[in-house]
Amino acid sequence: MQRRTLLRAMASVSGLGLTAAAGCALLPPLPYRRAPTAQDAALWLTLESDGTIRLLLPRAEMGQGILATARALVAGEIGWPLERVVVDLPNTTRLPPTRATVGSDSIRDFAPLLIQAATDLRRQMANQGFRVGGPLPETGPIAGATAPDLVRDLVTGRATPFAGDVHLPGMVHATILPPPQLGLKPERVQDDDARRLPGVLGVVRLGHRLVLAAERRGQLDAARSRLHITWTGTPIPETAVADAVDIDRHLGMGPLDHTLRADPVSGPWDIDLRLDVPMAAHASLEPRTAVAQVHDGRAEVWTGSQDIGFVQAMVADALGLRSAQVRVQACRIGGGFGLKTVGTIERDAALAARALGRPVLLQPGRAEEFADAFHRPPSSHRIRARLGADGIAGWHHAVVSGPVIFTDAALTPLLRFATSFLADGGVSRGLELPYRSTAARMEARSVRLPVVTGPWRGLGAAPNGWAMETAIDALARHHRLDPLALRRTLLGQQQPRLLRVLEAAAAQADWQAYQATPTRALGLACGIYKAMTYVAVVAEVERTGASVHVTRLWAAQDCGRVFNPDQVRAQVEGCLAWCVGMALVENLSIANGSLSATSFADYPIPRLSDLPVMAVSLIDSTDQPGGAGEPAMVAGTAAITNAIARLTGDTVTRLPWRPTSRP
Amino acid sequence: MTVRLNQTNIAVPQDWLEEPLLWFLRDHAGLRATRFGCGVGVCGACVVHVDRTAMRSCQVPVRDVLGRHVVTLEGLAAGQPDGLHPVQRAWIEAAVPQCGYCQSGQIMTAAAALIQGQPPAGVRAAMDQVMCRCGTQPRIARALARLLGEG
Ligand code: FES
Ligand code: FES
Repeated sequence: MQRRTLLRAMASVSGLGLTAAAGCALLPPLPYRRAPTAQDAALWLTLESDGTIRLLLPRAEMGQGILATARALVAGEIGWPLERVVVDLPNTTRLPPTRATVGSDSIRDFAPLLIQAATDLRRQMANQGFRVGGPLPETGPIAGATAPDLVRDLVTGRATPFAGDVHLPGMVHATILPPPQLGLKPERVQDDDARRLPGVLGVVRLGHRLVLAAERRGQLDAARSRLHITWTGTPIPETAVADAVDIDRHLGMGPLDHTLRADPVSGPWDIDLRLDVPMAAHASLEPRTAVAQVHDGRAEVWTGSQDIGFVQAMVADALGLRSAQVRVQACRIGGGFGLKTVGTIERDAALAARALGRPVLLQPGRAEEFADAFHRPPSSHRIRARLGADGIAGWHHAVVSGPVIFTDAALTPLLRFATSFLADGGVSRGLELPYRSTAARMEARSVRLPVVTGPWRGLGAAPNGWAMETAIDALARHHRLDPLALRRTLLGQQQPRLLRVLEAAAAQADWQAYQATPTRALGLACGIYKAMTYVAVVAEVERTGASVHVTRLWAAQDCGRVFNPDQVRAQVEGCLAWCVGMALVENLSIANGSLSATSFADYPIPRLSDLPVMAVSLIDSTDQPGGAGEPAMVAGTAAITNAIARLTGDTVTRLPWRPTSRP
Repeated sequence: MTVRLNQTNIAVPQDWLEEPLLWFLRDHAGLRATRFGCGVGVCGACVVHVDRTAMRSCQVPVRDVLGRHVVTLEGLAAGQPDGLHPVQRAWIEAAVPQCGYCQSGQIMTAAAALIQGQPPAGVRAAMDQVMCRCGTQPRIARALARLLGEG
C-alpha cells in the first residue's frame, strides 16, 4: 500500500475529516469519523400508520441516558405522548455507519439534528391530520427525560438488554485465554484432556489468540485447568512500561514530537514538578461481550459496543465478507468508558462461531478481561512554571504517554508505523492552558508500549488536567496565594464560563469561610473539556492516621443548554467517582511479567464507603449543548490531591496518592 | 430434585447439579437479571436470595440450593400490590441506575439486609461489598437513607 493512502486513511482516524472506506479490500478496517448530517437524521424517525413513532438513533446506550433523552426530545418537539415514541438500539442494517459513541458528543452533535428531524416530522404529521403539539421550549429541562418507565424495566429485571442476555438455539459459551505473561504467544496447544470433560468443545486457535468453548459457561473453568499450553517469547521486565514513558529520559533526548504551543520558555522557575500517572483499567462490571452466528456467507453479531460500524468492518475483514453481509445489532452496554470501541471480542466470536459451526457467546472471565483488554496508558509529565505580573510568565508542560486514539488494539502493524508520524490527539487532549500566559510551551509524545493502551474516560484530559491543576496549586503555595484567588487572577476576563463555574463551586463549598484543621481541608481545581464544557470541583478531604477519605465533593458545570439535568448530574457524579479512584486507589501495575489485576479484589474500584455526598450544580445556559460524560474528569482528581497537599504540605506528584514516609 | 424458584418449584436435571447457580438461573431457567461480574465472589453482581439470605450465585453449586427457596430480581416484588419491592421503588425515586448492569446485585443485597432487619451500619457494610463502576453510589446512598428512614 502507498504510504500516502495510508496516511490519508489515518487522517480519518485522527479526526481530520476524511472518511475511510472500511471493508474495502485495500484498506484495513478503520473506525468511521464522519459526523452525522440532516440526511442521516431523516432516517432516525419513522412514523407508523397508527401514529407510533419509531426512533432509531445511531448512538450507544451505556448508562448516559441517551435513549431517554432522545425520546423526550422527539416527543416534546412533536407534542406527542412519550409512550407513543418507541426507541430502539441501532443496528448496521437499518442505518448507515456513523462515528462511535465517544468523546461525550452525542448531545452536541446529534440532538440538534434529531430536533430538526422531529420538526420536519411534526409538519408531515400535521399534514396527515395528526393533532400534533410542540415545539420544545427554548430553555430549561424537557419533560419526560427522566424516564421512570425505563428505570423500572431495569430495576425489576424486565429488561434483558445486554449482549450476554442474547440466547440463540445451539449457542455455546466461550472465553479468551490470554497468555500468562505479557508478550508471550501460544506455541503448542493441547486440549485433549479438557475435551474429555462433558460439554467441553476445546480451544479454537485464531492466530495468536485462543478461544476456549463449552456447551455451558460453568464448564469453562474446569476445562481451563486441563489445558496444556506452551508459550514462547520473553516476558517484559517489571519496569519496562514506566521506563518507556519516563519524561526526563525523553526530555534529555531533545524536544518531544508534537507541540501544541511552542513559545520559547526558560527558567528560572517557581515550580518544577515531575508528575506520574500509572496505568488504569476500565473495569466495567460487564466484561466485553459478543454473540456471533455465521451461516451461508453471512454473519450476525450482537454486542454492547460503542462503535458497531467499526465492529462490522472488523468482522467483515476477518471473515472475508463484504460489510453488507455482516449485521451488527447494538445491545445496551454494561459500562463502556472507552474500552468498548474496538471489535476484538466480536471478531473473535465471529471467527470462533465459524470454526465451531455454532453460535458463540464470548465473554471473558474477569481475570481474562483484565489481561486481554486495553488500558489507560501511563503518563509521565514535567511542568515548570513561573508567575509574572501579567499572569503566567513561563509555562512548560511536557508529557509522554502510551497510545490513546491510535490504540494498538485497533491498528495493524502497518498502521502502527503510519500513525507514528501523526500526533495522537488523545494523548494531548486537555493540554491547553486556560490561564493567561505570556509564554507557554506544551509538547507531547506517544510511545508504543509492551502493553496495549487506549482511550479511557476523558482520554489524555484526565491525566493532563490533573497535572496542570496540581501545578497551579503548587504555584499558589509557592507564592503563598489562595488557590481560588490565584485562579481568579489568571483567568481574568479570558475564560468567563470557566470563571463562572469556579466561583459557583467555591460558593457552594463556602470556600472563603471554610475552617481548615490539621486533619481536614478543601482543595479545588477546574478545567475545560473539548472547548465545550466547563467544570470546577471542590473536594473536602479528611485524614485519619495514615489514610485519607474524601468527605464532600461539590461540582459546578456549564455544558450549555441542558435537556436532562438529572442525567447530566448522574454523569458528573460518575466522573467524580472515577476521580476518587484515580486519586486514591487505581493502579494497574506489572508484577512478574503480568498485570497485577485479576479481580476487583486486587484492582479495587471506589465503593459506597469511599464515595462522599456530592453536590452538583449546573449553570443554566442557552449556549449550544456540550457533553457531560467525561468533562468532570479534568478537575475532580486534582481537587482531591490539592486538598491532600494542603493537609500534608507536600504536592502530590504521583497517582494514586500514598502516604509518604517522610521523617 | 427440585428448587423453589421465585415461588415455583422447578426440577433440576442431574447434569446441572454441580454447575454454579448463576448459570443455572440464566441459561437453564432463563432468568437473566442476575449477572456475571467476576465469577469469584467479589463484585456482588450475581447476588440472589436463598431462603431470604443474600448469596453470591457464582459461588453456589445448584446442589446446595435443592429444596430451598431462591429469589431473583424478577421475583423480588412478588405479592407487592404495585409490582415493586420497596427497594425497587426507592431505586426508581432516586434514579439510581446508569448502565444498570450491577443493579440487580445492588437491589438484592439491599433487600436481603433489610429483610433481615440489619441496622443501618450493617446494611451499608453489605452494600460496600457490591461494586458499581458507573459511580451510582451517591444515589444508592440516597435511596438507602430513605429506606432506613433517615431522610
Ligand atoms: S459474579 Fe458473583 S460475585 Fe462477582
Ligand atoms: S450502574 Fe453501571 S456498574 Fe453500576
